Amino acid sequence: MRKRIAGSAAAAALLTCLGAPIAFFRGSLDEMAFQWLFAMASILWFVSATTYASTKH
Amino acid sequence: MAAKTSGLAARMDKLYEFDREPVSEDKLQGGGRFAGLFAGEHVAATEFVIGAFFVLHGVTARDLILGLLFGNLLAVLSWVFVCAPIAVKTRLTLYWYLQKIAGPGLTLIYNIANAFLYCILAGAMVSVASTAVGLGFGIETPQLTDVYPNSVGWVLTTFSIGVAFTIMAILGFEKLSKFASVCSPWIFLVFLAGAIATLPKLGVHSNLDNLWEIAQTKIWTGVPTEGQEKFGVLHIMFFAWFANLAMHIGLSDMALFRYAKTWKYGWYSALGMYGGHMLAWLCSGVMVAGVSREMNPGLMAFTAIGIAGCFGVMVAGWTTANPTLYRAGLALQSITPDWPRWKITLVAGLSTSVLACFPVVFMKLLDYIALYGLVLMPVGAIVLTEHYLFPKLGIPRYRAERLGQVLNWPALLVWAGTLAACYYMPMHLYFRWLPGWFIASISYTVLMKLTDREVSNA
Repeated sequence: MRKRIAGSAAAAALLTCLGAPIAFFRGSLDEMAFQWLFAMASILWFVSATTYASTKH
Repeated sequence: MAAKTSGLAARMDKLYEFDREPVSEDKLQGGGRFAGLFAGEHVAATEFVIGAFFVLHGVTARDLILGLLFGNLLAVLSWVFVCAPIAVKTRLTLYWYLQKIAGPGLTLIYNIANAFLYCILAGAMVSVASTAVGLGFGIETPQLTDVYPNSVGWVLTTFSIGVAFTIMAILGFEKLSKFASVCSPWIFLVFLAGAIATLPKLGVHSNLDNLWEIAQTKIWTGVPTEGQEKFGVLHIMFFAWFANLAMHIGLSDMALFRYAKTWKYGWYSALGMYGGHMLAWLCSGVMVAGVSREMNPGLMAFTAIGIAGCFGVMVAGWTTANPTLYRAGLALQSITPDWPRWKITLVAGLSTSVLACFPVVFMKLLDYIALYGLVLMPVGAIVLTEHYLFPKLGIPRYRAERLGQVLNWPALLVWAGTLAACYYMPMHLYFRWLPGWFIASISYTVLMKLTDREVSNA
């Protein structure tokens, strides 16, 4: 269960990291908001991906 | 205190990983591990520098795309059909296989050269990571022409990062590839996000209708920066091919592929070449255009995506410096068989940290990568020729092992002679390795055939 939650969070974090610059490029986000969102999603990625990799089940 | 130290040393000794024996069946690794390792290793801090240098060298957008497509394909084919099959067949590292062929004397020379070159490469990665950390502390990044460190702050930052990377490298193969697996998807996105976020600043419309025009007029303009040589499609193609020459044609990656269940795992290198090198080089080219062609990876990433970009440059340096230091440790271990791997990696890591303080290791990175592949290429040619060609020509293999030779002289002569021939070749540095490879293969075969009868009689 823990692995599944971590995996889902990691996938969401990666999608946000990809979506944020695209939103900035299309003009939906300003630069500060894009950079903040990217940084937050990056932290989430490292926490969740590390948890996913270290959890057995 | 002494007991505690020896206890720690004993625990570290347990990290020993069958470096000197063929890898046993139960230690073989699945394809996912190789995918992670290739993806992680080839989306690295040095890609920030390489892609940016292509822009500074005035390559055109068309030449860049064509050169990268063909050059990376050649690199993948070299892993699939040259390196992986030998590694899977022998299950040995190049260093131990070379000992059977050329004797411990030549292995010693090879390993010293190899470890030294690996340390410089890892040093470049440390330097690049240092530009990101230095940005946070207001430390001035060296200029394109700098050879020596330009400030105490640069030296302190770079050396500290080098020590941190060394500690990670000591932890071993499994932990390294796990670390790379966690980092690589995110690093890939750092490059991608950096390029996407830079495009509007260069004037690309949100419907991408002027993307190609901007690429040609503002990024890969075809005009080199002052003091930089002009590059064309062949430069790019050969660079993409030889960027990892020592690993595929030079057979260093036998150290990794000896763990592969099948030689077909060589195809995983495409993840590193296209998803890694090609994409990352394109993205870093866009990013350097966004900072008016200033060669500063930390600044490029920071300008594009903020503080996460700086962290990305750091992590990218880490994931590539780690396996490079690991390889340096492996190379040196055969010279000092009594030393545990952690100790020799520590020596390599500290040497790397010192080298990294000299900005020339990343400001001349493209030329260094060319030389690095060129120096080790003849050894790969010798091993490949002996492995495949000698049985077909009826030349006995493993002369050094059979006769208990310390040094296989024909091998040393071929290596030195090939490098001498390459030095005098009237062509660009990037193209010399290919004729050099044929010179090495043919001359080694001829020399071994000629001396075979004398050796047999003796």
